[in-house]
Amino acid sequence: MAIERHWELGVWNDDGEVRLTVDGQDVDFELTAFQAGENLLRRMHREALAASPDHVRFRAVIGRSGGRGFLVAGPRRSGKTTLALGLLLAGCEVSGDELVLLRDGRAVAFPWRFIVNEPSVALLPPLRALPPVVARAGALARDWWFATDPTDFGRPWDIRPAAIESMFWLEPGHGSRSVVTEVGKLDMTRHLLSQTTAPPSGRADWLGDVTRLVEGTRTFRIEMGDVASTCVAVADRV
Amino acid sequence: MTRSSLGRPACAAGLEINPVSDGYIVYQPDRDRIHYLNATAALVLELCNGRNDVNELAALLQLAFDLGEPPHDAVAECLDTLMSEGLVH
Repeated sequence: MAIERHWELGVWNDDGEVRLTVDGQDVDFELTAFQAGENLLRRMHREALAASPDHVRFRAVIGRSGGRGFLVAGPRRSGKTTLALGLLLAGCEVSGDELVLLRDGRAVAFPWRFIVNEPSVALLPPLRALPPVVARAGALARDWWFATDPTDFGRPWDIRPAAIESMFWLEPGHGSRSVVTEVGKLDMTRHLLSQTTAPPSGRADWLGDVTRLVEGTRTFRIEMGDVASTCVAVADRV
Repeated sequence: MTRSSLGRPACAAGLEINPVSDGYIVYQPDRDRIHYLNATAALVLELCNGRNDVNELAALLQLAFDLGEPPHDAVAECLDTLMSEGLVH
């Protein structure tokens, strides 16, 4: 993708009070260092997303296993991040756990680091054994969390548009083992669209982009039980 | 809308129809709505070309799905739904 616009973002520390500038103009001030960091990231992400106005946006995990692309969609708190981390630990390549962009049949992760909360760590004890990750943990006013990415797991973080071969819809299960069933394209599209935002540009045929993606993939529904069996189920079907 | 008033129904103009293997996903721009049509409803919509009446639609579905008799009630119910949603007139 060609560089279409250039911003100069600055963070300045004036005797303990931090301010943020964009192209030399103050845009926020009297910040703590942490607030400045959050503000900076939010601004960068907003501008980066604005530079992709034609892309459809999914709330989903995206990755590759055995060279084949997969996508796992699901509502908030369905366990996507936990599954993404489990897949990384199981040896899959996972490039995103939250936001996926689609255009012309090719999907790409928006390069957000994975935000991991305490329940995910409780479900995936090996996470505690990753010193670089734990070192970044922080106790904030809100929930306990830390940010990580595949490189913390010794995995590549390969972010580029790619085809998707398998797609999963993730739902909370009630058993200890995950249950995976094939799901029709109509139902999969309905599920996926519940986690989809149309392109801000309003480009025509974005829905066709989604339906062609679904039609060209193998589609499954996962009732998520334990993380390990879910990871095996995903890897087996990809 | 009742079966007797349907005449020869026709698909509404301007629909964006996206086929998948088990149905249609239809975007209706004037209402900004997405509809999910199963295979039967998709075929009914496809056959709503202003030339087939309700009985002919039922006969065509009988042929398409190799049914013992024309599914008059199912077609009428489907058409009622499609019409109430503005996909057919």
